[in-house]
Amino acid sequence: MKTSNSNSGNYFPENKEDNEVLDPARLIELFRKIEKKQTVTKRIVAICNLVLFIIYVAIASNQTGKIAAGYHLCGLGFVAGAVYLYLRYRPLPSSAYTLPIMDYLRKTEKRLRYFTGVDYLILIPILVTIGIGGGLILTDRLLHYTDRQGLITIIWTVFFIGLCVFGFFAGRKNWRRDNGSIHEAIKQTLVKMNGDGSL
Amino acid sequence: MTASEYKTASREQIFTDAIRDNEKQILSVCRYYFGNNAEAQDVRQEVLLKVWLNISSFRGESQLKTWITRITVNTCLTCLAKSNRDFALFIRPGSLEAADIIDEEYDETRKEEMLQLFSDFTRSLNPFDKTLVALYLEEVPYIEIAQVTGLTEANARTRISRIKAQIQNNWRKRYEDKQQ
Repeated sequence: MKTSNSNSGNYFPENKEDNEVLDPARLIELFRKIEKKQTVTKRIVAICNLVLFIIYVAIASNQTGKIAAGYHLCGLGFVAGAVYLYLRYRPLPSSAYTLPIMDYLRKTEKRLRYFTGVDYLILIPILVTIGIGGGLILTDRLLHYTDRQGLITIIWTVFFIGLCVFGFFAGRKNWRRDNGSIHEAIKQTLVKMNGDGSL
Repeated sequence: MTASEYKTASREQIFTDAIRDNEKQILSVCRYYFGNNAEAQDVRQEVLLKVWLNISSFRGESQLKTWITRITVNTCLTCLAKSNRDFALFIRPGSLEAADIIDEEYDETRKEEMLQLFSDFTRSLNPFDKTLVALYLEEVPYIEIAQVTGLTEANARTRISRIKAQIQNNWRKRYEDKQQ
């Protein structure tokens, strides 16, 4: 389990007969470090989103019609993204300390997953909102130069979906580098300790 | 105190209740991880602080004793992580429980050897299993061990049985090797 990241490494006790089980104490320390890192990233991205929201709403106030609606939708998407980030990456409460070790591991495993089902349910509507908003702005602007609205819409849709797909895979690559090995270690431990192969 | 009484009792009341009944066990569990020295006392203090800080989150869903044992185990593991070292379980010098695990018909003259084997063996266990053994030696019931660790009761029982079988095998092998 070797990667180049500082969060990676050997999470299992060395030279042990039962070395598929990670050291929960080391995990707690590592998870706290990851939480701190996630909090910093979350704050930066959330602030950027809020700044974009303010800019877009300010621009929308000087516009009318579809273009104003586009800016409003983008602003709404950005602020929803900021709220999502805040809720998704809020640190585990201090009372998590009183949880059984296995429950703590289950929580950290869930927290360290790249995307959960709930994330998709929240993120897809946010992205659709931003996509529609961006589409409205772009088509309105480009209609000054061409009247082929259908083509512009298709190009924008393909571009935006491509951007999202690229972001998904690029993000997953980063996630694998930063948290992939520790997440895998927790999963293995849960399976091993549960004995029945379930998480 | 019952679950409903915990909901209405003051923080000070629950804390006093908790410490009065469980202080001995807190120190006892700490000693399995840190031995009979000042470090165990320091960790005990930290456990008491954590109990005080988290007591408002106690809802009486599990027994207070179980809840405190859970905090004790978590604190011990965290403190060990900070010191970044492997550990064997510290067994009290006069402990019969460890020897009982190895061989029920043990010879008093070989107790030291048994305890040494036990110490070496526990060093090779993963931290979960060390915790299971510590709680078992502390005579915590299986149902409570399950609640402390988050394993199912059957799973905790199976893992402890396996550990006992392993250490008994080790002892037998060692004994047989010596006879040859």
